[in-house]
Amino acid sequence: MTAPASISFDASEKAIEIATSAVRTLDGKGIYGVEMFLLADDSILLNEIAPRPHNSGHYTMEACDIDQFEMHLRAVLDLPCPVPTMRTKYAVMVNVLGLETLQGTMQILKNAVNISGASIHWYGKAENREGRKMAHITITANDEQQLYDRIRALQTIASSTTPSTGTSATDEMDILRYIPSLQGVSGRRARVAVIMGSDSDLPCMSEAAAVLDHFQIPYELTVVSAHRTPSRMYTYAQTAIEKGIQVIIAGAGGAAHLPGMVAALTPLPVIGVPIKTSTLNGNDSLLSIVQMPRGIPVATVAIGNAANAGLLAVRILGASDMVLLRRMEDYMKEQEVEVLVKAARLEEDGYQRYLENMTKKRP
Amino acid sequence: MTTAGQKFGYPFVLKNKRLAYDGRGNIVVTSESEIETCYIKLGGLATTESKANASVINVGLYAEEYVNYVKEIAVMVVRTGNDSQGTIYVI
Repeated sequence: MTAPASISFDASEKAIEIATSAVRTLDGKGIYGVEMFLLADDSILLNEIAPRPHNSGHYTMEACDIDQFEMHLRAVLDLPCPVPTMRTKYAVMVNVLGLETLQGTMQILKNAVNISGASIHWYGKAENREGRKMAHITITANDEQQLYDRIRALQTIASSTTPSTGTSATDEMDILRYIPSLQGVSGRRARVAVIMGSDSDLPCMSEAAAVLDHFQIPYELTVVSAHRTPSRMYTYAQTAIEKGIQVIIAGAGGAAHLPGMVAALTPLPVIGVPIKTSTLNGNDSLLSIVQMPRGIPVATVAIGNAANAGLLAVRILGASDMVLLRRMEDYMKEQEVEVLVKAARLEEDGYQRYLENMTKKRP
Repeated sequence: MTTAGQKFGYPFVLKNKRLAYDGRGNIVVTSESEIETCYIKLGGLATTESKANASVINVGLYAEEYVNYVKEIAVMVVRTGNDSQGTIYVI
């Protein structure tokens, strides 16, 4: 369980609307846990309503100014029920399921005591049973780095205390599920916009998209022409911030005005990709993108190098997102290894055999 | 249940009417040949005695369409008795 939920803004608004209207139709006072399903098309189905404090609300004990149990009592006793707020930026709750022995089940809790920001709740159930919900651990954090470190610590503990053949001590201990910036692309608001002057730029610009896919950053990709759709470009650039866009990658060829004009219309960072042209080999695109007047910068990458634009966008987002920076570090290490492997093979085989292998690969 | 299978397709979900939630008291029916096994696993249909006894689970079964969801989400809602409608807060 992760709070706040990593779902789109629209989906969370819809979920709140569905949950409150459902509870409005019921009698009684107190707290209700309303469980729903989010589908691939961002629509929501109501599943179950529990008329009581609920597993989904356990995180409120550490993460909210009024927890679900106090709120329940307040409602039942007709005391004021102010709107609760989160005291921490993130909260992640995992259920601890019983292992074969009581001792085994408790080991994860004993180890988790060492993780700062981890709160342990042992239910004191009379009997330990494999797969039975025996406890829960809530991790709170105030930035993604903290969250990442704490969940990773818990994950290490969970995997070391879980026998390889048995059931997992904690449910859903997949670290990726809990870090907002590492979540899947679908259902999330785009952070990067990849735009191009013409659909003929797509083969080149798709390389930027491939990089964003690799780093699992949600993005949107579309055609916006500075010359043929000027009013669309205005609207697009001026509404980018409210849509949640943080970086714009703009590719254009020839008299390439799209990146510069977009940069003039929004305070967001703009990365320009000069598209290679048939008449002037992209020199025209390069010069019209790179030679911006003082005051309106466009970060310009090499001709046709949209992949670098994607990587630069990841680095810009990474400045305030340690998890992304770490992934960038990993990416750079992978590249280093690739080159070192090639160098070793070249040294070993000699240039003639290496060349032969290269031509075999590219007939 | 065969009708439910025709209506929803397979798999569909079979649930007890009482005390069924989370993984308890429900089962995913994967094909028509599984119907009988699932029916027995859930305790079968209600009897007159079971209906009268509130602590007994098998007061009947119902079928639901199987939903292929991306995520489970939850909203905690507080209902107060301050007015006839009840005021609602979200956690």
